[in-house]
Order: sequence, then C-alpha cells, then structure tokens
Amino acid sequence: MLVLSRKAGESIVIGDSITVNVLEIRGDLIRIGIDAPRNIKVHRHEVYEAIEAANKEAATASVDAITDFAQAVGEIPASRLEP
Amino acid sequence: MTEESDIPVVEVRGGLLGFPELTRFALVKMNNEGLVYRLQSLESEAVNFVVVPATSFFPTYAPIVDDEVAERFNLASGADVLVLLIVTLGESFKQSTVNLMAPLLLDPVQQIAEQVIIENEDLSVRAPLLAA
Repeated sequence: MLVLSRKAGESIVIGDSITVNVLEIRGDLIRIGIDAPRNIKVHRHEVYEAIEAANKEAATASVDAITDFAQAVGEIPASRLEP
Repeated sequence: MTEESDIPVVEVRGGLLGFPELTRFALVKMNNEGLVYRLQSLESEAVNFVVVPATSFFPTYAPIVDDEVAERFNLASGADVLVLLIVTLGESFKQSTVNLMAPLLLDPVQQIAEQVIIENEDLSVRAPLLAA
C-alpha cells in the first residue's frame, strides 16, 4: 500500500481523472472531497459492505420460495397496500 | 408455457453490488397485480432477486438520488422510472425485509436499471416489508 502524508488543503491524484482532496481535519474527523468521473462509484466503505452483504443474502432465493412469497403478498389486504 | 419474448430483459448498468459482472436480467412477473417480480440473471442461473415496487409498500418512501443518477434516467424531463426494492426472503413471510438504502431504479422503456445508493443514514438495508 502506498502511504502518503497530506495536510488540509492538499490533495492526491489517482490516475488521470480522480482527485482526492483533504478539505478539513478536526480532531479524529477528516473531511475528504473526491472528484471522479461519474462512472466511478464512490461510497463509504461500510455502506458498500452492508449493501453487498444484503445483495448476496437476497440473491439466491429458490423459485419455490419466491412463488410462496408472491402468493403471500397476494393475500395482503388491499387496504394495507397502495394501489 | 410463458413465451420467452413476453418477459422483458433489463440491463442492470454496473451490475448489483457484489455482482458487478452480471448485467442482463429477465424481469419475471410473479404476481397478477404486479406487486412481486423475480429478477433472474441471464448470465448466472443461480442468481435471482425478488423485487417489489416501492410505492406499493412504502408510499411515503421518496429517495433522493444524486444529480448524475437523475441525469442518466432523464428524471428532469419526466421519465417514468420505477423504484424497486430488493427483498430478502425471511424464514416466514413476516420476516422478509427490503433494502431501502439501495433501491433499483428501472426505466421500463429503455429497459435499463441501476442499483443506486441513497446517502441517508436513516435508511435500512433490512427494513421489514410489512410493519408489524
């Protein structure tokens, strides 16, 4: 891993199109600004991990289980659902 | 028998988080009222998702997407985009949850979809589908 030291107001360039700016350092909190092309998705790591875990958990339902689920949804009283 | 051509194929741009290589899915209607769909990968048979339209279950759910997502889906020009929630099936129906933090936006005309992350820490990735 490349390790660099930066001060507030300094930045790092990654490749030709990504810039990471250290905006502010206050106590143990660092504010970072990221300029990247729109096809590069930037997320906080814990958010990314939580969604990836949820997707993986959701990804392998059997067709039978899904059919049962669809039937149960069909039995929900209409008053509990928006049209 | 369902005619294969009746089932829309959607391109999930960028794939779903954790499945970046899978982008082509069939959207199979599982419920007559259109309340449940199965999103079946056309590239990996073992991978399928259950999705439900957000408005039917969470009428007040109004995710705010960033400008770039809005632009990709032409939201400013009034494009008709569906917000779908990915369901994790529970042991029982009542234990099933939905991911409110990362919904799937679907443009049924262009047949493109994208999983977007809503930057709002109050949204759960495992919210009960039905409030008790």
